[in-house]
Amino acid sequence: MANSQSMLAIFLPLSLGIAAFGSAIGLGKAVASAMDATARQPEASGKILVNMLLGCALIEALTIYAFVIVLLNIGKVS
Amino acid sequence: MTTHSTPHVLNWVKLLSESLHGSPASEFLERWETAIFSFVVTALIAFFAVRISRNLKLVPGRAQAAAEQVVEAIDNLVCGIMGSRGRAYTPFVGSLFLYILITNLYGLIPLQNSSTGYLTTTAPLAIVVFFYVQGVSIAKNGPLGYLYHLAGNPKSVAEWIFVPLNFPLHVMGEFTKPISLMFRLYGNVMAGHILVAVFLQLGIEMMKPIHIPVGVPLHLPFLFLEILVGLIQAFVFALLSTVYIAIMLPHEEHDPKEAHA
Repeated sequence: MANSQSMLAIFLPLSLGIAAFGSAIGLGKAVASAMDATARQPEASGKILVNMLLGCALIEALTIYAFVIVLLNIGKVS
Repeated sequence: MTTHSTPHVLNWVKLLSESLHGSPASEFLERWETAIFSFVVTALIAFFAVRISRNLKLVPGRAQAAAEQVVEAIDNLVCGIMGSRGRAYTPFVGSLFLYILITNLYGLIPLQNSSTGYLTTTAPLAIVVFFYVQGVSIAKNGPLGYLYHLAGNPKSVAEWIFVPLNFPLHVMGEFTKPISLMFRLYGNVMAGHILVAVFLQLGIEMMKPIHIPVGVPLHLPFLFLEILVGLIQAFVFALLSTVYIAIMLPHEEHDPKEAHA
């Protein structure tokens, strides 16, 4: 089954890259909006920071799920 | 997942285990390396906590004032998310935060390691959060209310129709929460360790041709990055635990704004 193994070897890291790409766009948008909000209302920066970190953590979780799938399947590539 | 191929920074447990090579003590040290560092950090926290909380004064000294600042900051964070009823959960969230923060920072001291870079430490932390959240929810909602909550609080007939679809989704969502918690912490700390180890090696290799035993400290900027990452990851872990507790509590006394967090 060398063929399926080489497919896995190519697409496992690639899947993580694709998931990270989507997360990166989401994180960029979230942080940009938080920066805008902080610039508009500097006195609310603490609350904005907490909410931004919470959103960032939830966006990141999607990449982590992809990472878990990669870790689960990486044993099949030897 | 193979630990042999990944670069790592030396720590005193590994050094001791190598110098005792072949004896049963060496095997013991190798197997319990993360647990030893975990115990060291726990002992440090316990020592300072006990020392500061003995003879509390109305007018605090320096150490007591610092400790009060930390506790107040954590309390403000938890109460800011859950409202006044959040105070009951401050000890749990606060001990998670302090343990993870101090473990992360402790790993940056030379010859030390942080146990949060291993799944064997982060998985128990996430599992503790999982069971705590379910326990709190069952205690506050009652067993039937807990199931009703997992079914998505159906009210109208149309909502009851979708319960067979919603219920498995919510149950699965509960199980993915600890997985994302533990892999986030493990991934960030482990990646930081490998990054520092690679640049440390690079600095030593650079000086080898001219026979100088001291390396270039190329990893120095990454240590500052690691301080930042350790702080943020500890904060995110505590924040997410708070939010997980908050969304599993009954909604009645909630602010309407926060009801669907």
